[in-house]
Amino acid sequence: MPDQSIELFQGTLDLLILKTLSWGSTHGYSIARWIQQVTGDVLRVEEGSLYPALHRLERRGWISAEWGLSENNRRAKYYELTPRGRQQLRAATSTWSTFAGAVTSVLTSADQPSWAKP
Amino acid sequence: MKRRKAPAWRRYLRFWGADPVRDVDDELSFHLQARVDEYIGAGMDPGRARAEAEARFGSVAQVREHTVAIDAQWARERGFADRMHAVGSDVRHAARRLRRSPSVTIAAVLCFALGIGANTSIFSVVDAVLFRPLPFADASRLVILGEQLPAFAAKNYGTISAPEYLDYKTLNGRVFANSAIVDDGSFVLTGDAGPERVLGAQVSASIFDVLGVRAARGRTFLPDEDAISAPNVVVLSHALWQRRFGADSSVVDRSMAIGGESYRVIGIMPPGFAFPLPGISGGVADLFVPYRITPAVEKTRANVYNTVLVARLAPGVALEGAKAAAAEIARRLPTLHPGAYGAKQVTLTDLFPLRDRAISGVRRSLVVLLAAVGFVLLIACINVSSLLIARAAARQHELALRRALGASRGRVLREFAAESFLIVAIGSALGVVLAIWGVRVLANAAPEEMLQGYAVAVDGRVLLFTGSIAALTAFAVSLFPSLHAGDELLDAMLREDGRGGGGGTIGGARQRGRRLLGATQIALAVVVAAGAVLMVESFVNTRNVDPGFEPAHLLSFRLGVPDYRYRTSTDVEAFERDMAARLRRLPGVHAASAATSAPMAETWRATATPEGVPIEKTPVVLMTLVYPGYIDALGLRMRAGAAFTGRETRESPRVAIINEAFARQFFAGVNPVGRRLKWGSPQSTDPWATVVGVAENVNEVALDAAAEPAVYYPALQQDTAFVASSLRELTYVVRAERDPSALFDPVRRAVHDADPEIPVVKLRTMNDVVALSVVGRRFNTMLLVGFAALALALAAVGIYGLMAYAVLQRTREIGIRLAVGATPSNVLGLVVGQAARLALVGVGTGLLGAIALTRVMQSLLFDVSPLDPLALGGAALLLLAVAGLSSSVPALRASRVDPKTAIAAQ
Repeated sequence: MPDQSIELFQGTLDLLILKTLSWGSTHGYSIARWIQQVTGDVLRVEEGSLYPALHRLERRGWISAEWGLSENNRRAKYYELTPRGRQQLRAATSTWSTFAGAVTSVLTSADQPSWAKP
Repeated sequence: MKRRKAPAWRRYLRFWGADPVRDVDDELSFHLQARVDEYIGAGMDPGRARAEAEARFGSVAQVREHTVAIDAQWARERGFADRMHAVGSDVRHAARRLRRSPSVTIAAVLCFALGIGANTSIFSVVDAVLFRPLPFADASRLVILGEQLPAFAAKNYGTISAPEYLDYKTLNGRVFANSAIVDDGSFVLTGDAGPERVLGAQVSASIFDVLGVRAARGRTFLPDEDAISAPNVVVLSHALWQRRFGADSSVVDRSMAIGGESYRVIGIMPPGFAFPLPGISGGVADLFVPYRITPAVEKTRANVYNTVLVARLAPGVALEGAKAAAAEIARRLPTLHPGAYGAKQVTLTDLFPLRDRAISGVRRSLVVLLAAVGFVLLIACINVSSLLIARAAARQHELALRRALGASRGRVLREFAAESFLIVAIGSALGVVLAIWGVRVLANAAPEEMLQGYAVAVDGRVLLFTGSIAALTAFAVSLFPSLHAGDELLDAMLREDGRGGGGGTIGGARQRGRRLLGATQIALAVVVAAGAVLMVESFVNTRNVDPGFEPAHLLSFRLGVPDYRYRTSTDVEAFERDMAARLRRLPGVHAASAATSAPMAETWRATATPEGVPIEKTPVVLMTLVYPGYIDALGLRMRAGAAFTGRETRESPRVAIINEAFARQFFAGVNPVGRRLKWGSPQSTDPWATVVGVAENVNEVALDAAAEPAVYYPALQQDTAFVASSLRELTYVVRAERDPSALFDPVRRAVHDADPEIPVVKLRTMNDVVALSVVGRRFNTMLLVGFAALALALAAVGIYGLMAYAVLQRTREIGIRLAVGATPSNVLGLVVGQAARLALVGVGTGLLGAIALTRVMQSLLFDVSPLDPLALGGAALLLLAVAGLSSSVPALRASRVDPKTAIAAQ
């Protein structure tokens, strides 16, 4: 499995966090699990790196945090997407799609350039 | 994932505020524990589960550190933003409150602006003259070497005899990094722009290296350009270059005519360069030519002590060490130059820091002026403070209510701080505008000896000073009203059922506080006023001085006879006789003559030895060489004997006239007429001159300078080369039948007719010359009087505010008094009495302060004691009158209170 995992680009983790939180507020552990579950463990980050990212997003005002109780009655810090965070998510998603689409179209292009060897 | 709120008790865990570190720890351990639980749930044994969880998490310590750092940074940003927001809202609220009472606000702002304006103006001057480094490289290492001859009764004038520079120069390289000599003098410029006489200086070629200043255009001197055979070169000041050459750059390398000789201009100095400074020599020079130690100069060794030696101390050499090294040279001078110095004569030397020497004459007056404006600012601050207290009192109900409802003490204090901050900020800004104008006025009005050579301006340094003063003031003025916003106010208010005022506890405390401030204002104003009255008395005393001659109907001017046109002393004398004759022929001229110096314009001191008088040290006396008719033209009054006949020649027996001070000091108890004296020390070979008359003392130096022994010799009996060169420059005095200024043009024409290339210098009426001799005193006096007036006005505003407020506070009480039978005049007396008690305390304290402080003015006073009863009593009465006047309006208002409305109100 480790050989299949990919290093995350800078900023990608932020985008994943924002997207995850767009489904509703939750704590860091559940964010980590959701990302792993959806990507089928392809994007395997060290879980710890999630927390500096969460606090950075909170400082930027894209998410807010509040202490609450988890499903098994433990004190946990819950994060929630703020309206500004939602805006940011929209903007970043469209940037990402454009970027990914552009890269994909280069990689999968059937056309050949003029200098291509026959 | 359903979430429930944390139970309320959890809050108390964070009772002391958020703890970001603990929060991060909790968050991370929750994550790890959740993962462990999941692994255990999947059947892993607990030890392995924890290891797996940690491996999956990465370095806990590193994550923790990063996260905590992010939170801490965020907390800082948030804190700052919160504070800025709070300050912003405080200021906005304060502005709104201040706008609601515009008259009080404007009064406070104006008081403060005046105080700051006066302070900033004077500080600009003080900073430029006393504190800012002189415009030379590392000016603190520059010293002046001065000699004193123990055999002569003279002080150290900070000068040497020019040829001695060759001896002191040997200190270069070990004690001095470099050194140079300077002799100021007047130079006649001729050429297309007409003849002009300017102040210039002969300087060693090394001078600009000593000062560490370079030319703005062209260059300064090369090391050997002061050699005797070197060609004539000149460096010009920026001012002369602008004035005479219209700032034309092509002047460099061109030649110009100075004193009939051609000089090549090699450089122009930068605009800020000013040397020598007043206090060091005659003033700032407009041109610099090399000082050549010619054989003629070498002959003046131990005879003429007019030359300033400026040196830069070598790195690492202390002033004391340099003094010792210079003293060693001085001690060896007689051995090195046998015959030049008298047998026993050992020269005493001293080194003075350049700045000390330059400012010695003005330091004291600047310090006094700075102290005076400091007091004015204090009074202004107290006014602002009192106004704020009054406003605080007016808001006492509101404040008490807010405190009771939980507004923190800090919150209330911040509001006061915001108000005073606004007043101080606006007042300071206005004050700086005032100061920019004030500095311009000061710079124009100040006498040359005070500001010439210094760049006086409101600049960054001055603004920094003003800013610090303003910040300090804002703090101080908000302190007092804040003290009244404390809890004692709340308690008292609640107890008193909201009816503050009268003789109640809080009204009493507040009134005591304000009365203390009021009395302080009066005390400060008394000190400033006493200082001003002392200065005025001194000035009046100087104007009442009888100068010893008749200045009315007299004019004087100075002429130099250039040696390139009049080679021999016979030529010079012929010109001068002709000049005097032309002047006498002018219509409306009563008498005219000339002398080497005229009273209060120039002074010349020389040694004199009275015959048959035991003297320990050769006296140094004022000396004037006079042309025939001078004594009459000046109106010198003879006390004994007779004036010169005007027929004295080199062949006739030598004669002299002495003044009363000379007679009293050296011929006490005998008739001086017929006694003899000579120029020089007892060993001098000069012939004896017989005293033919004793003249009344004349204020030769200035109106406010004490009379010194003086001697007059007929110029035409002198026969030394030194005198011959001194006689090339004379001051002419012309006695007119009417207004002497009407003769200015005829005099100029007469000189032009005699020789068109000789410029007329310092053509003034003698009354103007006399006034000029005390111009510095007049300047200081006017400033101090201005500051005293400002202090009185501010104190009046303060007292008025205080009493008006006190009456307002006691309206109800006064109403009751009137209702139970007090007459309006009783009430009037009540209020005036309160003001009088305040004034008496203030005046008493102020007098004590004045007695302690006016002593530092001693050296600025003339013929008046610092404890002069008129000054102290006058200041006291002045302040009592101000207090009476400014309390009369509130007192009258109190006496007209209508009892019914007063009691019903509140």
